[in-house]
Amino acid sequence: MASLSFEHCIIKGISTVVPRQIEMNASLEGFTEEEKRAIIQTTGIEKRRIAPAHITSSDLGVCAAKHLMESIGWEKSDIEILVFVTQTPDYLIPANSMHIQHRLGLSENTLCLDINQGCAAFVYGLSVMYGMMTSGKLNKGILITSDTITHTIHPKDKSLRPIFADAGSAIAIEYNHSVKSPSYFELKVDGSRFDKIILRNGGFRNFVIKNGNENISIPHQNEIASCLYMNGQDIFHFGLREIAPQIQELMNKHAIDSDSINYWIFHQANKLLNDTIARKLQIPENKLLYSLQEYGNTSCATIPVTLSNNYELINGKELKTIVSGFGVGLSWGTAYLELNNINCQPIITYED
Amino acid sequence: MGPEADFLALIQQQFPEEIRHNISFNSKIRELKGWSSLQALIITVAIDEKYGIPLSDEDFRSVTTIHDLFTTIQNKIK
Repeated sequence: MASLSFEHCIIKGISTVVPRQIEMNASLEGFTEEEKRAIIQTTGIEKRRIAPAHITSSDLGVCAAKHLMESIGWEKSDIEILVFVTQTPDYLIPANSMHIQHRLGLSENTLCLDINQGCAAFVYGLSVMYGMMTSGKLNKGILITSDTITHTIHPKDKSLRPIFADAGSAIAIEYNHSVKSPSYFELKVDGSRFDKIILRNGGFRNFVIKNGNENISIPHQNEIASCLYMNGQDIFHFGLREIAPQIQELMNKHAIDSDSINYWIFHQANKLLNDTIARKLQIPENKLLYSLQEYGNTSCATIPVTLSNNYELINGKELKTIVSGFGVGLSWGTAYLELNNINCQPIITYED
Repeated sequence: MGPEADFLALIQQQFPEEIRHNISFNSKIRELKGWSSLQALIITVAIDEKYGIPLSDEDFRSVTTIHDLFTTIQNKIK
């Protein structure tokens, strides 16, 4: 297991943007009343924000980053690193971080990098930012986690449509050698289960040119090659088996007392899974934060969306937190983070 | 209550009260009233919390009846 520790990197602020359009699970077409009731009760998801086709992950990410920089008073010229984590980039080539360097008006000296990550995006992205900022002594950086994952879902997919939603978050990170703020990360991947969450077409193993290419071997009964596929039962199995032990391992390794943790923020997969993981770790209900009910599973963005959704509890406070993201890869990452006096903005709506 | 009856009761508790009495050891899981992929997740949590065994998609695909599921759990416990 990759274990990383940092001492001088701190989160200064968080901003989250969601599209205006709301889809209500209670109003979904093609579902019986009983099905809709069961979905809401089991997943905990009532509403989701859906980006129209012309709004992309970079649009949401740029909006979040601009709002963040204004909120905390950072100058564009101060940004030395920009990491964009997404599974739904605007283009295959070039990376989102490259073209939004210009849209954000950042210096040509800014280190720009994309990471293809989903449910564990925040934890992986933060660990990469902290590592590069520490080794390069880069003082200010922006991490963006943004996805329009609903654009990958078939409108008649009754398993995924009620779950997924769109959002973009930006996180301001500072490296300051005079500040001591420990953070710890545990990161794992099991590539043998890579096709439990997959969008098979669009990369270069099944490259779709003009007329499409559906004549490929598809092992799963319900999979459509150009849409996102997820084996929900196996992801649930994965979540039940792997997440609590990883969190426990991180806490044991660094002698972190469970009672000292103010808030626990998990990837917003579904409420049944998160509540079960919380019971395994004996986490009090009032310390487990959620955004599922209002915003669903926003893929890359779920953890910062959850922080923004609970901004009254986070903004300006001194907190010890455990965050854990898990899913596509399959990959999972847990971090201990101290959030001291961060500027956590409430969720804002994207203005087209 | 023996382990088999205990298991059946656990499964019954995961369904609405009005259909519990129709659920027996020989009931075919996928033919139960109200069966869905979400119901499978609810049963998965109940089994994981009682026996410490999370069930995979393959586990569910390989069984027909509730008795088969009980056997699968017993084999994993061994």
